[in-house]
Amino acid sequence: MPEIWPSVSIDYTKIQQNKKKLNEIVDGKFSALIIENFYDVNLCNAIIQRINSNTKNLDGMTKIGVSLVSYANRKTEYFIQSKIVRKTLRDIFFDIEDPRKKIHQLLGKFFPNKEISVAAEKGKKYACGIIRLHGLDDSASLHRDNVSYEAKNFNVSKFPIQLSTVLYIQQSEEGGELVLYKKLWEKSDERYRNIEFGYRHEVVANSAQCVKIKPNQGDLVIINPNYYHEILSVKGSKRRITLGLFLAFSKYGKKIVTWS
Amino acid sequence: MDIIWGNVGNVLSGQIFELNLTHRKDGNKHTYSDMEKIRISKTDFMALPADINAYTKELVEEHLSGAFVKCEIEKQDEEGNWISSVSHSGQGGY
Repeated sequence: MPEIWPSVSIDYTKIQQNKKKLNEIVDGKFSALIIENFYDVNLCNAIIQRINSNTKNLDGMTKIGVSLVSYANRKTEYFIQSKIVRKTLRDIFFDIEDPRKKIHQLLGKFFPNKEISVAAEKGKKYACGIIRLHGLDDSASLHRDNVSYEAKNFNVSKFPIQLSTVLYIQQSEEGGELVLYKKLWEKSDERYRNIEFGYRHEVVANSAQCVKIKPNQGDLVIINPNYYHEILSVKGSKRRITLGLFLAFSKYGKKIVTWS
Repeated sequence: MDIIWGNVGNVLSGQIFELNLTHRKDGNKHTYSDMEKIRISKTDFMALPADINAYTKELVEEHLSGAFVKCEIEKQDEEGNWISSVSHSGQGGY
């Protein structure tokens, strides 16, 4: 039976006293940094209302936004789609505090000496944020996020450190937990790949530690996504709705870039 | 068209590698063993040159070695290699 891989929770108002915690996510001391009360619940509800009114007739819709790895070999199309979806996301966040900007501001508190911006390449901006919608029985099988391996032809792949931020806009009634395994991806793991997405569970069979977390609405979770993780099946009538944004940087470099 | 998936093993030349099979399409016409030799007819690997004749063993090792790939089989050559279109398969994550 694996031991618990501890996560760490801090309130949004206590960031200044806990700035070093993010390094402990990078090096795997903690599984996840949960920033509680990061985003106002009323604003989450306003976003949910806008999403629901835009997607109520689209049962199969699983995301609003663009994911880079889906376009790993279609770079031109990725930038075209990123531009198209920019307006959609702006509309969803119109006239309320844009959670993506708030995430950037938060990163500025963790890294006061670094410059934070949406990644860009030859004047073209990367996509900034993806809303994922998990309905009844939806899940995300075991995977890791590693743009350095999966999308080598994009400049963001050159940064050595990648983190993932996930804002919980709506939590599912039951299920939908994030499970994190203390097992970093390595190239030899490719033999465990599924055809469509992710990896077979054998890849984490020897993982000594894991954790299951279920943050609250308005919480922001930061993980090192090169550790294997999965989302368990969602139960109940409420969709699990999250906003995801990746960031990458180097220890001594001055830049932090974000994308989705 | 037959399709097989697996990890790229030994790279034998700029066009030929050994594939360690993990998956086979249901309904394939041929039977494939756990290791087959693949001759690349084309790829979707952006980091490789457009012209497959420009591929070297070193380049293929650098970009494909260990990678999980999908091979769409066109035919078998006289040496028994499966001539295939080789592409990235699925996503390991987001």
